[in-house]
Amino acid sequence: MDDTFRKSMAWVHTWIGLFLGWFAFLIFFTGSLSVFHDELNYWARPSLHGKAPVSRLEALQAGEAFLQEHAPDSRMWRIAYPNERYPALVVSWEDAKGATKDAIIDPRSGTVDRLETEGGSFFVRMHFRLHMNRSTLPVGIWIVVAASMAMLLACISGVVIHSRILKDLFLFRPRAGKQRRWLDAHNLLGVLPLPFYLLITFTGLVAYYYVYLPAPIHALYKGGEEEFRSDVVSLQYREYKPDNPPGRPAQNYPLAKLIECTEAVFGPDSTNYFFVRDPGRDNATVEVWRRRNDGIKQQVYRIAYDGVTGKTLRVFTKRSPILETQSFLSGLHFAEFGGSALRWLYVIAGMMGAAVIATGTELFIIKRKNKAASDRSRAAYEMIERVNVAMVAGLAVASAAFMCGMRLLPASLADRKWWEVFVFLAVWLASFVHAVIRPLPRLWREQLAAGALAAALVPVTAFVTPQLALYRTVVTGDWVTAAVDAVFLLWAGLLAVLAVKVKWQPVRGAAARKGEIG
Amino acid sequence: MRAPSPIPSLSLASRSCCESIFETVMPRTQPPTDRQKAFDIAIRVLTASFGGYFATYMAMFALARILPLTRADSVLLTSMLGFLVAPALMIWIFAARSTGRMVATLFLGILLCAAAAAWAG
Repeated sequence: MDDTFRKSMAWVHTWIGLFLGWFAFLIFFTGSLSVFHDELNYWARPSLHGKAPVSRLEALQAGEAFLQEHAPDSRMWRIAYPNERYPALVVSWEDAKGATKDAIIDPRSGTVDRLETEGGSFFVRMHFRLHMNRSTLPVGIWIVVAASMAMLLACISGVVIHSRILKDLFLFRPRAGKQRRWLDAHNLLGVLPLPFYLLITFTGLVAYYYVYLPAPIHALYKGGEEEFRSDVVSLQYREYKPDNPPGRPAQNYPLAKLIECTEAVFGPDSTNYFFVRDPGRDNATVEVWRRRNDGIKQQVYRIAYDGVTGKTLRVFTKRSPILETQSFLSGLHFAEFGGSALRWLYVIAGMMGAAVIATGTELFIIKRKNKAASDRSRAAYEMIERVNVAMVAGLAVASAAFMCGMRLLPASLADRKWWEVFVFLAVWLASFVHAVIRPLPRLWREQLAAGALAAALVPVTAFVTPQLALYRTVVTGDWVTAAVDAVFLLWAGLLAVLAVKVKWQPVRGAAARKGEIG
Repeated sequence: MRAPSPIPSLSLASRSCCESIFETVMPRTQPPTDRQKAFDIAIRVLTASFGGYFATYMAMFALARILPLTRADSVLLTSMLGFLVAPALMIWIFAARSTGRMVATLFLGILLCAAAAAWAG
């Protein structure tokens, strides 16, 4: 391989890793947690637990009844059945100002679950936009794009640097000097799941193409994203123009009957959402969506029906290979297919991605600190090392603290969602403060121990709602909640083992710079 | 002087980053001064951060208009291609031998894309 190319790639790899590595770590870590966001959402809502399953028909009718009562004049209704991953009936509607509201309903009693919680979706929002709203704070999106590009560049430059990939792959020398250990760990974690890292980063960008690279939309659509979206939608379905006035009130075709018509086309047990436009009017239309978790493609197949007569208006038959490609790539990122086994592979690979970045930043710090020419630059690297501990270990502590906060915060707290986010941020900030004031040799051990403690606390918080305690959920067969609790216990164990085994060695001055650095 | 490390990659990465990049990009009779090196690095980083994204943006802008597909298909295809072009462009920005030539080529490319977009739009 060309020597100069290699040198420039080594430079890129090092400096990109420094500037955007921490953000990339955050994205991989929260991304791994996001794989099971539906299960975490379920875990966070005690009112959903221990309920006997309902048939789809019952769920649909309960949803329809609720919407009739609470939003009869709305121009849009949406009903999402309970499914295996998230057994909750969710209804949405548009209010008078055009904002979308949603509610989780208990199908048997029709009561609303009033708990305001971020749930597992917190990690999703953190993952793809740093939890910053696109319209008010787009900087979150920009950072995520930059960090994703950096990850791609780091992977490519990493491959260029390590032309001895196969030989390096089998090289792991835990008893060698400290710097070599970190380097070998970094290589091992970097090479084995490399295809995954490239794929997940690329597909992540492709999944939200219209946000991350809006150039083509600006080139072709004067109306911007809104116009583009309605164009893509109308590629397949009946065109819906929101500025059409609502028609006169009219009796609508019962939604339950549409299930059979749809399943005749899409197959048994395949319906997922019901979208109703202008319900209760003579120009009502209903779209029934097919579920997407039995294939990789994230493309939505729908049938549109006339809301009054139940006549089929349009079945999606037209296929665009390019749209299918994009939805296939997008589907590879979201991993809604393949069941829990595949999702676990994604989590493990994602955590390895987080680890490769963490070992990379640690390697950078150790190498530079050992070579530091002056006391001042060594002090600077020590500060970077402190920040590194807080970014990596502190994030683990904050995530577990967030999980605890979701259960422990009082249910009737105003702005509860913001308080949950506050818990996360406050704990993370505390880990930064801890990292600055505590002696450097103890940092990793203390923060990892804190992480282990917070994670171990997660199942314990169930005692606030006794029916969710681990021993109860195992007995009643509430596997999802039991699994979340068990995983956090295992994670606590892992962090505890790391906390015990981590050995921080200070630089012993000039003597250490000669010979083997360890 | 440290004993040479048995791992080439380690010794490569541990060389001063500025020396390694600069030597290869601006062959001179005298070794580059520190200021010249810093300037070169700064140019590359700025170009990669802003120029790389902007060049991708312009290229995709033009490509979207040129492609003989429906509007929606064109948007989707150019977006996917864009995410492949962007990292390749950034690699080139750092790997190109001559900084000056690289910046000039990029600038020219952006102008060409703008012209193509205007012609096709």
